[in-house]
Amino acid sequence: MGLTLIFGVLGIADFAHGDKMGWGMFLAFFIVSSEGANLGFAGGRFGSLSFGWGLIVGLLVAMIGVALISVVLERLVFRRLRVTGGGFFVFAIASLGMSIMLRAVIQLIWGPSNFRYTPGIHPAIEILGGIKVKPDQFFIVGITVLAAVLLYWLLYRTRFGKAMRATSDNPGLAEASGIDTDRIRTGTWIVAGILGALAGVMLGLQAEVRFDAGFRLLLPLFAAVILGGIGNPWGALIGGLTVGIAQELSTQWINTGLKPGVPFVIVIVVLLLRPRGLFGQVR
Amino acid sequence: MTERQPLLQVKEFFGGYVDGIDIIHDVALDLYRDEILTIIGPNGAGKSTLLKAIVGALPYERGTRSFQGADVSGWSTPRMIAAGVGYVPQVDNIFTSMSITENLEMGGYMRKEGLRERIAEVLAMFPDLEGRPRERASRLSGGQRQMLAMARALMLDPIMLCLDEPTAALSPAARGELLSRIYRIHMSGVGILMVEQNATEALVWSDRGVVMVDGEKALEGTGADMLTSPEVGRAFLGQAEGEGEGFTIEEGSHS
Repeated sequence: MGLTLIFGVLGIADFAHGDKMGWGMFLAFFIVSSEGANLGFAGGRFGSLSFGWGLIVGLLVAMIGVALISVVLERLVFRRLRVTGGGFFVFAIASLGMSIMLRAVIQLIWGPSNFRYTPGIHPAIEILGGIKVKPDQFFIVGITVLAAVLLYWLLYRTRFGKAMRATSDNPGLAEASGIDTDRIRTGTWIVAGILGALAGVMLGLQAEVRFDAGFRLLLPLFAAVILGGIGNPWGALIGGLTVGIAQELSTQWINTGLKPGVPFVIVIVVLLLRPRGLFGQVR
Repeated sequence: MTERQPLLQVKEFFGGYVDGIDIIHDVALDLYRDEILTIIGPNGAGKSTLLKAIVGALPYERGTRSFQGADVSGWSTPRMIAAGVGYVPQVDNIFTSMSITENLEMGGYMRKEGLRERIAEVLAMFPDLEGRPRERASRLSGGQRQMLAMARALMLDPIMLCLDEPTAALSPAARGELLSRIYRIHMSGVGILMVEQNATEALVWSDRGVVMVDGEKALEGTGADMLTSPEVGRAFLGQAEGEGEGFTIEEGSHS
């Protein structure tokens, strides 16, 4: 959703988004791990979930941290490139550079090992028809839907969100209407950073905490954004689910090793059949 | 008796898109609140550039601009708009992916209060737009889009409205409708500065007209004088109808 927001509002394909998720993942890990415990953010657990207040605090820290990283990178790089007239590819390549840098710093600090937020086995519980789901996964789905609802509300119901859409639609007219488009751009990076951090922490909760986990998800993310229609939060959600499910189901017919290729196939098919995606608007 | 003060005044005004390359040369222009002033002239005469310069949307300008007696030289578009100038660009003048109401909300972005009330007031001026608040702007016809663009510019209660070729690409019927709307907006107390290609029709509704050629003000007069002037008629109004080719004004009148 953060990726679709940046793509839709600012027209930037942010290849660093995956690694911003990585930063969110590790900032939360810092809080729930022993370093965090030393600072007084102990674990504990909520009911049958695998985590407690520690992760919630970690999530908040991750959101603030990644939002800050996003704003700093925007000020240092994107804003300057915009002033000098950088186009789509300049932004994309710059974000690729940031991606490498952000990932390298994570590796420098935490190393290449895999971690978990909470060690131990977290058994799945059986729901209807023999389908097994971990309690954490309910939490992840709930939080994701909540994030989509909030993002939709922001974009379509608030003055700031409407100004974001206006800036995306027609930056010149937005400026001539008295909208401070620089502020809107910064705000967009903050919201996307918060969403990226959230996604990173959820990814860490579902899988494992690893320096390149966000980056590895980047291509499926782009596939989800393109499938859902660029700039549409619901589209990103549905696109994400579709890409994820398609990847998992594909192993019935193809070698598991080919699974990472599934998003590419989806992107190609979508671009051929419906270039604006499932929910994209015709401009 | 006090002398009538112009709403807008530009003097010894030069401007362009690139530093050192002026597109408009030494233009002087006054607009009073109780008039519609139309700028006509051939393609490339600098009409739209002059309008952009007046609303602060041109990168380079020299000379003086004043609005309501205050020096506004160098002011940016948002500042001019906050001061009471509405501006409708020729193209890209609405947010096509947004609804009619959202377009008006964005037009009134700088309003501190009374946004809902103003939207209702503005919609009442444009019956075509009323009753379909959630309609996407991209679904509107050309004439309706121009009306929405004007409605958007009226959201901040401007006392002066700058319109860049409002009737371009409209059918004759839609042109007449739009010009009569502009006249009604004017009658509610808004000074109108308009650039037009459809010169004859626009001059009928105008108090005064200015002819621009090669970035300079070539001629100025009342709307009626312009319409009856053989010079303007032969050289420009004829051309607007697609009859003439060249356009020359023998006597430049730099005031």
